[in-house]
Amino acid sequence: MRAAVLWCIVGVLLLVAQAIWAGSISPVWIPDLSLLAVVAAALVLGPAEGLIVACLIGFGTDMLSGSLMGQHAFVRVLEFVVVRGFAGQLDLVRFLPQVVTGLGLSAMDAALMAGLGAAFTEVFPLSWTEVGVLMPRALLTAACAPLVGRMAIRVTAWLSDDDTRHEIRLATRRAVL
Amino acid sequence: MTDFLRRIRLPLLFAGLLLLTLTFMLVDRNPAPGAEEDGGWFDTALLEVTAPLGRFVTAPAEWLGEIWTSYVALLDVRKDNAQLEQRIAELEEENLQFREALVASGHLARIAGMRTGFEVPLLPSEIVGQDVSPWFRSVLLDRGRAEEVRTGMPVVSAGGLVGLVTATSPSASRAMMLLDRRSAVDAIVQRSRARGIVRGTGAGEIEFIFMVRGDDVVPGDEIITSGVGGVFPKGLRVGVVGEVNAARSEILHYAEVEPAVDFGRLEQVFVMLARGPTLDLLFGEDGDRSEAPDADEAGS
Repeated sequence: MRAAVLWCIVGVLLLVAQAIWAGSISPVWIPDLSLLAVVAAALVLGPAEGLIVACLIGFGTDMLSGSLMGQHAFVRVLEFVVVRGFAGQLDLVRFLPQVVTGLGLSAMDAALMAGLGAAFTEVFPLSWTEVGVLMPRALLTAACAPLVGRMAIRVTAWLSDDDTRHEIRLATRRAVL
Repeated sequence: MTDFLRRIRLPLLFAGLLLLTLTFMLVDRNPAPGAEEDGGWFDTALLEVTAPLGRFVTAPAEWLGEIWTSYVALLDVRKDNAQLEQRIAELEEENLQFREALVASGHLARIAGMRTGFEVPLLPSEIVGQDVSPWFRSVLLDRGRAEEVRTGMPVVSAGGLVGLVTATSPSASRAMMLLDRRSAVDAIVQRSRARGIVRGTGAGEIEFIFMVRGDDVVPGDEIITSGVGGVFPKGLRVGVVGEVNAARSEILHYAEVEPAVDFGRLEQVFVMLARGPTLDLLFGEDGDRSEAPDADEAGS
């Protein structure tokens, strides 16, 4: 629970930082911090609390953006589920799987935003020009994914040490028996 | 039963969250009648929190920028001054010729009489935050309903038209810029009066789409708002025509437009404290709403 609250706060802070940086740098050259926050939440939180945190981060993005209320939230919830799915198959703590996941999620983010935009506002043609514009952002987001993931794991372990110890003790017992 | 509920807890939560977000999108797309009088509490609260925080964090950057513009950039001032003096002389001569032409045609007195009808109070406002998403182009302003800012009011800068206020809280507001793909402004070419629509491409550019084949649009033409549609007043500078794409086989021709405003360096803007008759009809004379009118509503 503590980790979920913490991650909510971190998500909001990342969003505010992104909004402020966007004042001096084009958003294309700023990694999608809210997406990275969702990836990190998927690594360190349980599925139920993670889903809620991802949804809240998405709503926060909607607030600080001109999108429809709920558009980013919808996308973030789906992205969280996809990351959890990947985490079951791949060792997402490692560098390469995180980079690949970050890149894949950026592409998924673009497709979903375009799809939802087309469905709800009918003014969302995703052209090749835009794909070219969004590409640096996707690459930057993918490159930052391992860093944010590692930081998330360390910070969560440091702050919610009770849960971490509990997990380690169970693993040790299993091995001994 | 308890085991069953526990098993379906996660799928239920997942479906519930998706349903919730879809409901929000539908409600936001089609706001209920009467919901336009005031901003929603969530949106209002977030605008209220973000605006002062943004101002606080951007203050050091602005301070450094001030030092730069006040001292370092002064090195080029002498050269700029000479150029500006020359430009003023050219403009004064041009202005004189226009006055002569107007007096000659007897229009000057009539225009002077009409001028008071067009004057709109301008409220200076600082930009305290930008859109976090590259999909949308909006800015956060530090003035809100307390200073009579309402949804649908045009936002301008010294260069020209910036956009439209789309959401307000008591002390902050959000404005959709011309660059946003949902933005559509009815505009004309100042020289030839060719009419069309200026739209944001979503990729940080704007384009002028004109319908009538054979319209006289050439690179370098100034584009201004037409006033048609009742959202933006007539005569606001939008930009200058760049490359024109007018293939004979196509019905719709379009031209790239260099915006009159440098959107990347916007720091201060002015909110025009009057909105057009179309938006007054949409929102009610004193009403407001928390979210953006869509492209069809926003196009003037």
